[in-house]
Amino acid sequence: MELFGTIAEAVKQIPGGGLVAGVTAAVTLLLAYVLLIVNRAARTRRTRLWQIAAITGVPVATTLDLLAVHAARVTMLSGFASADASERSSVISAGISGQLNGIALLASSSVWIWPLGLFVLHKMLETRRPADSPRFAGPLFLIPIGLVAIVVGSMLWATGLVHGFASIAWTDPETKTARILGALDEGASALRRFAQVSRWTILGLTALAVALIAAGQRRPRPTGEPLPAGPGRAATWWASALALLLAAALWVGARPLRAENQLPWPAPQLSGEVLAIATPPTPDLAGPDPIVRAPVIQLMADRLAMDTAPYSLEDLGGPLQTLRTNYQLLHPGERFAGDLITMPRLVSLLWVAHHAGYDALMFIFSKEETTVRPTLGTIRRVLSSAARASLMDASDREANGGADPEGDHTVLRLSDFKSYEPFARRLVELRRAGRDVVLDLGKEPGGATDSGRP
Amino acid sequence: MMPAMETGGRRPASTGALVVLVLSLGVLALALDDALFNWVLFSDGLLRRVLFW
Repeated sequence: MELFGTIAEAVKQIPGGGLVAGVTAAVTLLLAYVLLIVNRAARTRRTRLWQIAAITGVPVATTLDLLAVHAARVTMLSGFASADASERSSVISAGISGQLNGIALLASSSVWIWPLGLFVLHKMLETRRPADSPRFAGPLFLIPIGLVAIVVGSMLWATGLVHGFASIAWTDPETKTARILGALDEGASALRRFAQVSRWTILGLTALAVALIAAGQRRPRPTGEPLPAGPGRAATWWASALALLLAAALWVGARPLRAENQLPWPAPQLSGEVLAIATPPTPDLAGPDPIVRAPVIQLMADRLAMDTAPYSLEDLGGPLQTLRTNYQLLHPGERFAGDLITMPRLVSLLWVAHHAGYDALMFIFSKEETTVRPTLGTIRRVLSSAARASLMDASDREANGGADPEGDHTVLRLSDFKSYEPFARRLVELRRAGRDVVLDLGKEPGGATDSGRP
Repeated sequence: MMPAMETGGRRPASTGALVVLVLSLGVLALALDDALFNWVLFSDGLLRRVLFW
């Protein structure tokens, strides 16, 4: 019962899954019925009609499943274009489930409906063969057996990723991207191996079929025995032409997919949170620190935003205190890290953060990157990195007898830098060298006004 | 060559034609293998696209 529940749940995730599963089940029953009646009344017109219906049903069921996966892909692509983050993630998630479950259903149902369909077709051709003629169709039906490996590989690829993603769902967010990438790499290389096995099996079985047909045709016969009747000459040439035409169409049709699959993707950001914010512009630097989840302050020329909502500098302290209190209520007993993301900096902002207890700053450097994919088109992303610094002020130095706090760190004084760029460069340089950096705010200027220095 | 009359009015295929048919079906199976592989792997690319932020 649990298995049926799992299958029903998986079918629900496929666009039009009920229809696809229903048609697949109907085709399976039809094939089973035809196999039951075919030996009893092989040559009747009624049986032939049932046979044709069952054989036709196989590509129909497969086409419906292909369309369902295509619909899931369209859904997923529309999700990438969505501006709303929560809608984007739910649409993309629906697209992923639809594809993986659709491919799993397609591959698993192909394991039985195609062999049964080809068996029924074989029976039908054999029935039409004159009773005194040798068999000719058998060797032809060896070739599709070569596709079993890629079908099984596709099923294992999809089910492997469904299980892999489910096991990753509750892991540490820091390692999630690397784990997803690992699961994808593993799945893709296994699928590649299955495709190779299929290729070589098809080649081997084709050679075997050629040998069997040649042997059957050249077998010495007693005088008077007719030559193998086989298919008619015209039918053979037509069938060959149709097969080659279909092969060419498949080859050409798969070109966009092949081009997309052959072009590797740029490396994803493996550690830390992804911060896809490119405003305001930041110096062209790459910080070595991972970004952790924290309030994000964007400081534009004319406005300020926290987590993309507009704030004034004077009003920022209150919400920051509230976030801190909420954090402590949600994580009782845990030390408040005081993480804060800032793009870029302003002395008065740093003072507000310092007063609210946010002393672990991440200075963010972001740049937009564009990649052009053969089928998916132009895709933009924001690559963000961080350089960490903790805050101190003159009172901390006074508490230490006028000296810089002791420890393995470098103290930077904002007053030593004329603008943000040289400060950011120095900060990144120190962090890259593995040094902890303490940012000395000095004495608080009168009130919460900006000192005008970086 | 057997006269067409002996096979119910149609000309039977030669061994060469049957071999061509088998080879054509082999080519079709190879194209199917390639198409199915690339079709499935396209979803792999879409999943990688999710990581490309």
